[in-house]
Amino acid sequence: MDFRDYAKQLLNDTSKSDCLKLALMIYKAGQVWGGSDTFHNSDKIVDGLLAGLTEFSSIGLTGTTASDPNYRVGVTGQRFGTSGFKPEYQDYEPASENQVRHFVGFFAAGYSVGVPLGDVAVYLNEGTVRRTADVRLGEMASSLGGNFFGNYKQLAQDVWHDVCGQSSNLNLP
Amino acid sequence: MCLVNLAWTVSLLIVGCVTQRGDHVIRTWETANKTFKVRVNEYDERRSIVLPHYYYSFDGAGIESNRWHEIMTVRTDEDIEIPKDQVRFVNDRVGYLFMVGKYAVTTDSGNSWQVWDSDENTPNNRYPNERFIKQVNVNTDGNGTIQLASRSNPKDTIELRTNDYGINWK
Repeated sequence: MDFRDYAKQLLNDTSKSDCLKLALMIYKAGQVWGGSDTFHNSDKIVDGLLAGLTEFSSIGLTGTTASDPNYRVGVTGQRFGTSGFKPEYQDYEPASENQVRHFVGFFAAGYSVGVPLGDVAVYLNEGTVRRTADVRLGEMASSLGGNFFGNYKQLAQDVWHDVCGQSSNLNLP
Repeated sequence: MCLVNLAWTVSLLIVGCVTQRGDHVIRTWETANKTFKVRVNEYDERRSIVLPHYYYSFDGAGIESNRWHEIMTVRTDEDIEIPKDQVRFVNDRVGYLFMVGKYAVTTDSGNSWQVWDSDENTPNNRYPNERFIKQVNVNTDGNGTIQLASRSNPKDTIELRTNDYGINWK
């Protein structure tokens, strides 16, 4: 099953929280794009997550590239939400509740330009440095992105612990 | 690398200061009563930084006119459907609409609109966009209620009342 089909399946799965879905999609992205050398394929993993779960397929020093609208999952129409995230990352405003999208965008920013600049991007994107749910989540995502070197299994566990707030290890398929 | 990063930061600051509504209409919708009409256009964003925003422009016009004038514009994080059920006509003279934290009402068949912003008028508001409008009910006699929900706590809801169709909420 490719990433898009897997993400669509998760989107329709009401038994799992949105944060669990995020962790599982990170793991799936690593399986799909990581290949045998996840360190050198980490760009592909990040870009794959971006293209599937946001409006962009790359974020970098030279700007952004739009993703294929037909490939995106959970960005318009039926969308991912805020369930399962740690309370400080939850946003219940209906036009802003897709925390999967927020996480992936800011994760990619941190990965592409490093943690301090990723944080700057968070503040500019949100229009504030006030610690709202989106800013807090953006800082965490930027930090994880800045320290991502292809170990997608560890990243899925880190998201499960630090973003979803779970103490046990995630049982990965 | 430091110079590149510095340049990127400066460019981000510049872009961040000028991020604005684009010209591309993503969705449009129009409704009317016997005397005035309301149009909602959803626009994209020019020069997004990390994640794009979306702009919902609410415009009004007389029923026979095509001279639209802006009532209010709301920016969202996500590309959502136009909230058609949040544009309502009470009678031929009175209509109201709301989205995220803004409410607008006309009592003169759309000739003028009063915009109410929860950021500026909610008691004990701590920071911008702290609350959003969850529900509004306005009756033909001008009495009504507005529910303002917290973005961070779905159980934290404030209810305000009006006796002038929502020009003022207390």
